[in-house]
Amino acid sequence: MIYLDNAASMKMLPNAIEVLERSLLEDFANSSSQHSLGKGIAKKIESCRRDFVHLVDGDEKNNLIFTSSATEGNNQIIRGAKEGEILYCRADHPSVTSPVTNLVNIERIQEISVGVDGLIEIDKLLQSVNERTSLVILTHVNGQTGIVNDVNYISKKIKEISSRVHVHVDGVQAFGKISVSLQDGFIDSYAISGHKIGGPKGVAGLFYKKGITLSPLLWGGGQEGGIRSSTVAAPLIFSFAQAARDVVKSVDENLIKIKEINVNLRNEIASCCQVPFSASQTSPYILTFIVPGISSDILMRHLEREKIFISSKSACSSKVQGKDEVFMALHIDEKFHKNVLRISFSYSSSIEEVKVVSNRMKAIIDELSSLMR
Amino acid sequence: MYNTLVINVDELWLKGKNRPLYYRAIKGHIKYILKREVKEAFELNNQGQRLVASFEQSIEENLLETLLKIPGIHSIYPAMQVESDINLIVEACSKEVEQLDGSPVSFKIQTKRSNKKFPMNSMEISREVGHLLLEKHSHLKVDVHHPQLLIDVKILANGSYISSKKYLGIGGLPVGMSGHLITLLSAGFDSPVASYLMSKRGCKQTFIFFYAYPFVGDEVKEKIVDLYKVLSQYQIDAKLYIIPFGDVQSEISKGCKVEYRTLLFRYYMLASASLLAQKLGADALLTGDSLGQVSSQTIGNISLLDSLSSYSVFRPLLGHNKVEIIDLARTVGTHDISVIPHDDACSLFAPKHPVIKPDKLYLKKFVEMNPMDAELEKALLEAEIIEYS
Repeated sequence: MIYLDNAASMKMLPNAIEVLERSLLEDFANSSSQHSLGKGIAKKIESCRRDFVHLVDGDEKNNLIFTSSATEGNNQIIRGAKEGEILYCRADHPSVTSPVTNLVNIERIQEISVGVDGLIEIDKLLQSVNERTSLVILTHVNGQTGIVNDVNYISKKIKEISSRVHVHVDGVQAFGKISVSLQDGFIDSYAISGHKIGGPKGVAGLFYKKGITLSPLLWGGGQEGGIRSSTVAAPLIFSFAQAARDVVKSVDENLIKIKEINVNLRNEIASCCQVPFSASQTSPYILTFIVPGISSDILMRHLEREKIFISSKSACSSKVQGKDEVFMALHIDEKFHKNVLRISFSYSSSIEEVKVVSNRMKAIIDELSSLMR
Repeated sequence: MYNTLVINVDELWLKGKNRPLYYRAIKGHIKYILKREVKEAFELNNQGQRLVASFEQSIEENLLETLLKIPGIHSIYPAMQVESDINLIVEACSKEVEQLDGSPVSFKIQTKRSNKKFPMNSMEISREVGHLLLEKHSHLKVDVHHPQLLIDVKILANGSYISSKKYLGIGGLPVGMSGHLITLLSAGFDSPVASYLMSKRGCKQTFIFFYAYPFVGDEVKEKIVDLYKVLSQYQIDAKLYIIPFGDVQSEISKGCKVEYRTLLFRYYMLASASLLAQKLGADALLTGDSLGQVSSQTIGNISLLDSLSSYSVFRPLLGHNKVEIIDLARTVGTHDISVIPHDDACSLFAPKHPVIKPDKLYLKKFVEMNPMDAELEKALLEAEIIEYS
């Protein structure tokens, strides 16, 4: 099997599995309990917390709460936003767009536009920021396209206009894959996710700047400094921390390897596919491409028959509309909305895998194209 | 409150010498349902021309609904069976009255006394029961011409039966009396309705669905299974064969003219269904074709496919309009499933200009040169067989 849908979810790293297995057996007590079993676990959790903050150079200015998912983290920030205008992008992940469009009064919403190259139009964004703005949401690496926005620069410029603005970054596809630093202190909160970096599902983290108040989504026993009441999921956190330490340590060397694989794949598929976003602007872990004329899910199913798994968004039906909001925001022509596919790599992806996938894909595309004559 | 079901069978007057066979078939189907749905012991007996099912306790309402789907049943009267004692009879009639909401209602007692041992005659019984009911329920009044509530009292040898409501079944002939069809099932409105119509005429059916994976996804398969479950209600132990057909379609498309694709798919589907018919000893094939609805259903195309088929193809919807079919789908219970927009055929294959008046020679030549026996056999062997009861 060749699994290339890692932006959706990644196989757990062996170290992380080992930590999880052991912890499930040993760390059964409740970290809020007052006896030594509970307190022992609580101490280990604090140690992990410090590790995470350290991994993003945040030791001085930042803290972190553990959540169940980045969706929870994004929701926490959006739902707790102060009065005022909120800026977001339609190309953001649904865990951003959905709470914004469903929970925020439409008069308060301002949209961030993206250029044809996929990058946030910074000048336009900055023009929309003023004293009425309360929250700006930025996506560090776009999950659909892999586009990398310079969130450190953008957040700095925003703060120059109005220091009142809360800048929140969705860093789900960035943390553990490209270099992430919260040292500058212009980013108020930053969401990350466990299962995207080889950790387990059900655990994630929300970095936040010391001094800001986060409104709780969940009320109860007062865990996580009162910000996120729930019994703290110690085994999942320990496993997540193990994965995080391992991957952040090797960010640079992994980046080189994955860049090579990415470029290789781009070359292989250039003859039959369109690749709208350039290698220089995107995280090499994500490659989105268009196969004109062939429904994305038919191609995906042909590949899955051969145990090759990649990502397709659409459900193929001539009776169902294919228009996709995110693709629209990214300036992908509506006629191609049913032809978009995404390949995303893990730390263990290889050139050999890419060769097999590109060969099979080209063969399948050939065969399907001949049926279209 | 009803512990008995009086079941009337349909089209009895047609049957003559076939009657014993007919009764056996319909009794068999009723017993099959009762065994499945009723936990306690029950009895199913012939009484005159009717079938009477007796239960130890009151039956559930959905049992009645389930039984009414059995082909061959004309109507069912849920009844209370009591000992032939006037007081018990009155008590049962009273229960019928109590079912209503208490607002003023007109009623009539209709009695038939087959058991001559009972001391009163029919008219006397009606009068006495009516009188006692009026005493008990002040909101009642008698109307012998147009009663709102008609209570039926039958005094038979083994007891008295009290009922008021008649529920109509779907009629027709019991399943199995009219042979065995292989039904080509697709996800639209038509073929499920066609299946229902032939269930009513007493045809046992085996369903076949041509699954074009990987050109379509498994949402389509799930939809078909849902449709099959609904249609199973009108059948006994009907099976569904899901035939992998994506590769076959691909193979066909490589060798034929684009505009003949859909027609040739239909040909090979009928050929595949014929293969299954042969293996199962079925008598004919069944499709949901309606004349002129889509390109493969022109008179030219239908006639040509027929001439090339080794089995008769039944098409009960040939004369139906689309609106009529959609209405029937509601009756059958398949409308809400069929309406979900999932293609069972892939638009990738669909020709822009499908042939309307086919060149018979071309088609005959093609199928002669490409019998695809091995591929069709293989597809049948790889079929996923679903049994739902």
